[in-house]
Amino acid sequence: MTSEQNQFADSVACALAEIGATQIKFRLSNSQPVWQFELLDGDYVWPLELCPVGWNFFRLPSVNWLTSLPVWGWPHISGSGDVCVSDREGLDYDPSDIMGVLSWLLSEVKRLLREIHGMSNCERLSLFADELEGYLKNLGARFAQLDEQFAANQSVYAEVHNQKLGLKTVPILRRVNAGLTALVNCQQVRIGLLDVSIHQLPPLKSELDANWWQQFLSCLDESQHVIATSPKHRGLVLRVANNYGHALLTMYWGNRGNKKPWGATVYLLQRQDRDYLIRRTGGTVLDRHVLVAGVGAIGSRVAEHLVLAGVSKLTLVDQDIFSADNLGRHVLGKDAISKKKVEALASFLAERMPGIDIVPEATDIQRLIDKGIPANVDTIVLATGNAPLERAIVRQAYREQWSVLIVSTSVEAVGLGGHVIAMRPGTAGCLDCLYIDPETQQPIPSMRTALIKPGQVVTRQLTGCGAFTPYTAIDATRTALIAAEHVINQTLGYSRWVGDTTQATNANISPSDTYWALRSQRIPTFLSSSDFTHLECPCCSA
Amino acid sequence: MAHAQTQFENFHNEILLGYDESSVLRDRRETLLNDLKNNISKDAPKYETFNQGSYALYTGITPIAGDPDMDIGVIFECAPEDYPDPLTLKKYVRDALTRQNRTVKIRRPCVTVTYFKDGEATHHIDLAVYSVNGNDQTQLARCRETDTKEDRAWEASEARELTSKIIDRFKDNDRQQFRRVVRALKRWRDNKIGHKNVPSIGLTVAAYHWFTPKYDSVDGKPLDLIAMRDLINQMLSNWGFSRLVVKLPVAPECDLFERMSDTQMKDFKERLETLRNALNEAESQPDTHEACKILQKQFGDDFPVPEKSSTTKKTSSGVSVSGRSA
Repeated sequence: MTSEQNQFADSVACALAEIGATQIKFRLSNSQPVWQFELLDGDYVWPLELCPVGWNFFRLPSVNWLTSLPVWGWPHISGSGDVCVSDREGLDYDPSDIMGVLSWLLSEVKRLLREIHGMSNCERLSLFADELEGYLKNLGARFAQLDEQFAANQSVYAEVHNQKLGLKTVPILRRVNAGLTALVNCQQVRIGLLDVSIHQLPPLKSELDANWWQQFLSCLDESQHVIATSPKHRGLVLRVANNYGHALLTMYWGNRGNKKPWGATVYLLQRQDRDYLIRRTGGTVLDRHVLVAGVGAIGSRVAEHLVLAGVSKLTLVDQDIFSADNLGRHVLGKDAISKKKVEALASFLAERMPGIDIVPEATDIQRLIDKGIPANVDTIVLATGNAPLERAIVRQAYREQWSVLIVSTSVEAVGLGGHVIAMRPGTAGCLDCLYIDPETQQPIPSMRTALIKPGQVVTRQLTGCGAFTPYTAIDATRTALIAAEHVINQTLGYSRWVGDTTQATNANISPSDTYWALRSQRIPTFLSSSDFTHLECPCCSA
Repeated sequence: MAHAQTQFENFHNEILLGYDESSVLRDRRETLLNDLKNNISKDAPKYETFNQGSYALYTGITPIAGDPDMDIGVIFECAPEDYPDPLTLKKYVRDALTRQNRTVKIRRPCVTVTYFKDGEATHHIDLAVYSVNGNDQTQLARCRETDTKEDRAWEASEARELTSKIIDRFKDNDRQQFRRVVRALKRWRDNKIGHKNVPSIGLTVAAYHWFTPKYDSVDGKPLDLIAMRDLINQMLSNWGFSRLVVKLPVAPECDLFERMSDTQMKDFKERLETLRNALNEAESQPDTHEACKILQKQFGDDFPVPEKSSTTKKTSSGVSVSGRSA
């Protein structure tokens, strides 16, 4: 041991002694320090083991309860006796404060063990059911995917991959589904879906044998017994009721024939359904149908963030083909080259968020509008990069009183900033308001809040053919995030952001007065609809 | 809603008179200071000069009639104790400057050089005479020749500090708007009240206290009309029982309007209210032409009125390069 390790060991031992630990024994386990000791707590003596990760407290050490293993049915205690005093999320402390950290940790361990010990068996099991999945994870159970939620009495299938290991073939459960999906190289196998209570489960391990099965069957009622023993089933999804709904696990035994004794592998089902994933972000699924017109650098990112935010349906409209030129700032990668942007993006987004309903429309937005806006569209994002086209669409929407939120978004060249204008037909404050000079009341050719001084050439060439507007993926993402927020919150108004002038200076491009006013915070980056409404606007004030 | 910003800026360019821009002013100053340098008594202590007043503050305007006046500070390298009678230093200045075609008179706050053409006074230059006390504070020589010795006094007067304070009060675009509004207000005063009745420095310091820059929140362009209207509202809301008190932010911290009579003060207030109402009325006009007609009545003929825009004929907006993309 190094002098630092010795010093750490001495500090921990001293702190343990000071806290009241007795029978302190130090050992190395796989070169890691471990202390065994007893902790007196009233009439109880808890035999414990302290296992830091390395020779410091940079990560909170684990504390094991040294009792007969595996521990089954005790909430907050893993099968190996690890006492979970905290989920280790968001903890903050001074790792050099050995005494302080240990004092807090061991008092929490004592409190937890005392509380759980004082519970009835029924109370303990009830709380334990909440943590059943975590318990199985710590036991080393395998994982399988679950992309959807099941209704009662629904047929359930397992997608099983037969993996060759030498001369043997081992079935591996990849995914559980409702029969509508199929992974490549997987066999679709019928399994049962059984609702049980935690009290009906004998202690679980990652591999189950015939004794466990018999014990389990003996705890089931008649109808459960029928499902569990159905000859059609090659396994069972167990839904174990708990305070969060239910814990999910699958026992897969496959086709064992009559000669082999019963045996099953336990799989934890990794939920990947949209509702679950969105709730993990702190959000909720949004019953929205958003049409994104233009899925370039901004539109693709708006779509991505809407999907991740829980929007239930997207219609993507763009007739462009993805090319290698797009790689520098688009969400799609090389796999999408030569594919229709909307189709490649739809596939990409379906992978990002299982269960999302995406309709790719490889057509021009005006042609689509001429045919009619798809049913139930409640928001239209215009990210076409074509201001006259977007103004025409907005005018039509106001004229025809479309019942939608329209979000027009664009980015300025050379990192100077971006614009998001969110408007709703019937409410004053629209894109056209920004194309009228308030002094002369006359239309002007460019948006009066442009961040680049008018009359400058901003497009660039690298090959002599193929002009492009220089802006980065970061510029597109910043703009897209603001647009996505307007969609998610259904906020009307005008949001803009401004960057610095580094790129503009290098490119010899002069920012506009509006840019400087925003940059120096003389004017706000967000305007409500009424703030930018032009009273004589032919579109929204007509 | 019309803000007539272009017209406010054109008006400002029309009335603007800055020392930096005017060779006439620069030449007059140089000539006078050369005379001072060449002719001042050998008994006089060393001195340095500086611009003060509206040219130092960048708030100078062309007068409606006649030539512009100018203020120069002369700081002698001596303490008030060295010259218990401040008239001595003022006499050094007067005697050095007396020439044909101009008269030089010692007035209480300054030495005034008046220029004549064809027997008519055309313009004047005021020279304020200072010494510096032990605390590095400038002291103004306040005395006339007719004053008794007891009435001749050195009075704390921090002209250079005042200039710095006013210049540093706002920066960049805010400062530009401050200067435009002060100049417009001074021209309004010349037009409606008369140059002498409401001192320029009072208006400038009122703006120092109560001016707030205003911009169009959509495109960031300055809104001088709103900034001026808000400044006037602030002045009116700070009106006491019958008077507006505007104190110098430096020594001697006196009320800059104290010499105005109650009648003048009442008239000043009424005219300010009229100006405020006119600004409001102009703002409410849908057409800039109509708005500018209202404003011209307040600011005079130098305030431009654009042609009436046609409501039936659409102007082509043409094509521009936007630099925007998605």
